[in-house]
Amino acid sequence: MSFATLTGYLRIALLLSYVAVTQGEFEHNHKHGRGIYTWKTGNKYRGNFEYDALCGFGEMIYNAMNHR
Amino acid sequence: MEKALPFTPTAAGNVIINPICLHARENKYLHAKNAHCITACAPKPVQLLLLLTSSSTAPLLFSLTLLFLFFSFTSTEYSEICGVSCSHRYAGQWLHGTHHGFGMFTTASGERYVGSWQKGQKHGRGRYVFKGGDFYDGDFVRNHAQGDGVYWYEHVITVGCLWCPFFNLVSFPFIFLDWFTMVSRVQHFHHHHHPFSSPSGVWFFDVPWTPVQVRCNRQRLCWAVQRRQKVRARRVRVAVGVEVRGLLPGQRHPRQRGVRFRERIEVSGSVKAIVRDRARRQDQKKNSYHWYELFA
Repeated sequence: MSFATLTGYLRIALLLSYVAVTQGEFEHNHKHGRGIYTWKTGNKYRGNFEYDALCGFGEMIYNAMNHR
Repeated sequence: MEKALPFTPTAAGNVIINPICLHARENKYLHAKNAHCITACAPKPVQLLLLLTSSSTAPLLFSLTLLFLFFSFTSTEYSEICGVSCSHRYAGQWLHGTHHGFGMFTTASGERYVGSWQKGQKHGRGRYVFKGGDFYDGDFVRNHAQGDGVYWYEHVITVGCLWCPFFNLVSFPFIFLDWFTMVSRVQHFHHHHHPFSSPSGVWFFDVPWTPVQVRCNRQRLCWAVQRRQKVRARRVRVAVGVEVRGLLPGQRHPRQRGVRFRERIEVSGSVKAIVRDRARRQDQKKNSYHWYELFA
């Protein structure tokens, strides 16, 4: 458990036309552990992260409009 | 006047789908008592209308509403019975941001794939369940249903109506109805993942076909039974899949005949065996819990 590790942390990335909400565990400024990640397009992921990548068990709810 | 919602929101943010609605989604036609299941997708006035019609015991009104819905939203997704939010969802294992390992993918229309994934593709052993209740259980190779597998074909049996002289006349249009549903199912594959359009062609048209069920009452009035009875299923075995078996190029599987990569379809199975298998499947379903209950 390093100093940068925080649990229950909420993070909102604001870029031009890009909003993503992360809620979960971080380690060394990476998403690591269980968390929820929401894309601006509507996709929602709840589950495990390993160094910013979706890894392990997780559940993704896709926005239907992306696929039609 | 407490209406059961199609889903229950929880504190964690996820939703638990009403099992009744899940069952309703599996069936092709919706019963009036489960009208609340399709309100999730429909626009607000339609939802209200559906709720009004379903609360009173008026199946006639409900059928009228369904007719209205059918003619107003034939091309859009409102005509389908959708899930909680009309969205595709995946629950299972991930690797490097892709579906990898064991997982379940549910499309917005209610079709689902449960099985193994590799690099974001259906690969390995899996089961693809269609909306009508048919399912394919077998090997997948890079998103395609290929290899050793069984297509379980749920269909309707014809009930004899000996005293009805207009039997053939009534059943005749519904033959085409069934054909149209098959066609629409084919079009559905091209929406998202289309595991059954393999390079060598769409094979499930070779599945034997039986007419829609027609029932007649004592007044010699006949009608087509909307809710499909799952009485018999025929096994369609598709045998190929050199890649799946892990043979080297040039090698030939002992059971394989003819050209490589050609799909050979053979229909087999007696009614007795089919019924026994079905009972076994139901037994398994009863005794085991869904693996994705871990997520709930």
